[in-house]
Amino acid sequence: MLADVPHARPGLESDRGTTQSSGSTISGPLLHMSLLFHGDDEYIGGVVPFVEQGLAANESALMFAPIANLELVQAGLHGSADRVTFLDASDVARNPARIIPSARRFAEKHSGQRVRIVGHGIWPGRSAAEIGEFVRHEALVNVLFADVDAAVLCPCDADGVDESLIADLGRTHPHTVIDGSARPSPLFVDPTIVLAAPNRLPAAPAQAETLDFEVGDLGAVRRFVQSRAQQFGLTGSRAHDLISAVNEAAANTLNHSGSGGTLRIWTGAATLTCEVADSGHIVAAHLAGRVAPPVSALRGRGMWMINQLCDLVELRSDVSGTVVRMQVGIE
Amino acid sequence: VIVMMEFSEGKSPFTVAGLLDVTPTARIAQEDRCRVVHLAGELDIAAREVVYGACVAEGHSDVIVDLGGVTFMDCGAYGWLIAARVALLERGGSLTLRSEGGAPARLLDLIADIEARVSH
Repeated sequence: MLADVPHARPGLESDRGTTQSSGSTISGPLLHMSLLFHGDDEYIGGVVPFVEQGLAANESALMFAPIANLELVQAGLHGSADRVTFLDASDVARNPARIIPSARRFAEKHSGQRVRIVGHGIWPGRSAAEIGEFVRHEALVNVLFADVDAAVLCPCDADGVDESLIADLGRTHPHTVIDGSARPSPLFVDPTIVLAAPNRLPAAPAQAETLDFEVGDLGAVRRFVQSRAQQFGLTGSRAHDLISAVNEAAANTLNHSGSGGTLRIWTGAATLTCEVADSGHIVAAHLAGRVAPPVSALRGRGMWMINQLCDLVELRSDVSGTVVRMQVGIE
Repeated sequence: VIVMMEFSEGKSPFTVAGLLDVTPTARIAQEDRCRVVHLAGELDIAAREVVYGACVAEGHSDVIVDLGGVTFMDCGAYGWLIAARVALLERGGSLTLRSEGGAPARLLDLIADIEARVSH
């Protein structure tokens, strides 16, 4: 045994990737706006001038959206499209918890100047759980981008979305673009209100397979996920990603909750879901894994890593316990 | 290649007959003027002695860690590599990772991606 091993336990909050406190007031340089559009012409008419204004002011611009929407804007920008960073939303926004770390990286890369971001993360076929996480993400933008000098425009197709999503966009965006100008959203509420409820996930289905685990069982956890992934048709790198994600969640349980936990695994129509539950409480869980830790950090990247590896992650924690639910699609 | 020392976890609960040996091990070898730590098996936070212990073993300063035999690596094991790097830097040495694809590549790529995007 070596006596000089650095004791790398900075504590529960930072170990789960949360080092910032949530602000309850909205102030600072961020301009965060929603844009409801009908059809391609309104999309182009809303997004292209927003990007052009930024380019004219020498701001750096980032846009993530479904490919078809990226192409509309690229065509509308003509020759200046090559000054914009375009990202495929089906990658960066597939799991909404991946958006803020990516967008913050972009802002850090261009620190010292104002940045302009188009964030289009809702598209047809998004599940209710995905939309729920997206709404939480939009509330978090107001917290984690509060100090960023950025103009953020979030377009959402008004056709085919339900009224509750439109209301939630109003609740999570301080401004709404109407007829080309940003107006204060009368529905906007403190992001902590959006993030606080609902704090419980629907229960795992009765047919979920279960494994209780304790210290020393991480290898058994990995093998359990590996066998079920194989059984349910998830193979190769996708299986490895899920095994890695569940391993990180179980390691967090063992390192922080003070006891063991329970792994549940089940399949949906085209999804495989794993859930790790324990009796620990993560303070400010909504911030966990939303900021990429420095490369030199010894600990604290588990939740962030889980967010990179899974298609959807739902984290809920209160005094009664913590649940990390991780979902991947099965091709 | 001269094998200097070998490390392994006391318990090996995950060795499954007929499958890959998943027990974490470290083999320390001398290649030219470098100490090379060959890690193998599945590395998680429990592999502290194998990862950190082998890297900082007495006399080491400049260390190459070869991940070629690693079949799984998580953030906990990566943390032990970072801890070893810090300890080696403090004694004037260095730690270099040698990894060509394989199981740790995904984790290392994701972590390196942060650095690449922030520092450019």
